[in-house]
Amino acid sequence: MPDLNDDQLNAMLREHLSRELDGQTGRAGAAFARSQRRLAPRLAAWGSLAAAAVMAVILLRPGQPVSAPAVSAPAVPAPAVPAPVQPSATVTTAVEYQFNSQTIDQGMVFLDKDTPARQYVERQVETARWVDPITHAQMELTVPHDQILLVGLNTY
Amino acid sequence: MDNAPRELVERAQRKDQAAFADLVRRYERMALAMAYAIVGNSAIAGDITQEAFLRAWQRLGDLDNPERFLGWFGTIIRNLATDQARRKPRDLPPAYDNRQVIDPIVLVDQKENRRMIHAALLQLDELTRTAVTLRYYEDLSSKQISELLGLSPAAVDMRLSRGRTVLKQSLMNLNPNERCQT
Repeated sequence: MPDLNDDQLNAMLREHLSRELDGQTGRAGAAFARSQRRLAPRLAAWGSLAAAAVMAVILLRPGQPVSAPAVSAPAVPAPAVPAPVQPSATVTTAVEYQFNSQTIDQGMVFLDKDTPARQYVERQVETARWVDPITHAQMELTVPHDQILLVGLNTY
Repeated sequence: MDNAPRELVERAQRKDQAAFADLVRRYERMALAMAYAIVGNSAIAGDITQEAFLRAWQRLGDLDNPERFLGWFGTIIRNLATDQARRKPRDLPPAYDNRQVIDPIVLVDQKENRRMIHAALLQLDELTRTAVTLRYYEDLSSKQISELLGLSPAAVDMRLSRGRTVLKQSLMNLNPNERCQT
């Protein structure tokens, strides 16, 4: 068996690594761009949703009529009841934002007879959690998202 | 690949997205090579690379000296890849060759060659395999590799030399007709 010289080894390794890894290039840049596009509007939208949820808690709190009835005061004073803690309508703190992403290489597929492509499934889950600093009520939203990416391949 | 320009890292530390996107373009192949050398699977290496850049973006404020970006980022990749390698490997379908799948005989030959090269690389210890992968995929100098791996340039040269010797011995049995195609 003839020896493997340096040039052959170099060519072999370069070709092997290129074939293994070239298909993965570009993913990190795309993921970064997506994360930046997604983050700002969603946090704002979710913040609004959290504020709306807190408002709903205030309005629908048991024992608190939406509008006070116009009746005279009772003759007998009501027993003293500790005042309920008021949830804050305006102060909610986003305490956690998590973005998890997993990409699975599902190998080659044919879009038609002569058009090969590589198929990736990108699974993403976004989770945000808010806390009302006064009542310590928490709200968590989780948004799963699946995306199939097809990357065209050159045929030789 | 040149060293990360200080100015680019500083801009990214001030949350300049364009500057960070430039860093991603510059170092993505390097990150892929490092992660692949540790986990041995290209799709997982791609996942790790994505995650490493997102972490770097979130934690760039912790980097005291922007000129040490490369070593700092290399540590993020190594930690993520090592964590991943410790877990049970995912059940992934084999990644197929992109170019000659039409001919089953060629496909079988290529898969076999690929398996042999992969097995030969696995005979190297992790640092040597990482140095070899960075040199042959991204053409990094010994100095750049040394910065990434926390070794001296002389130690990198020694590992590269030793790695080449082991690989040659392992791959000598590969069909000579296939050597030019792999």
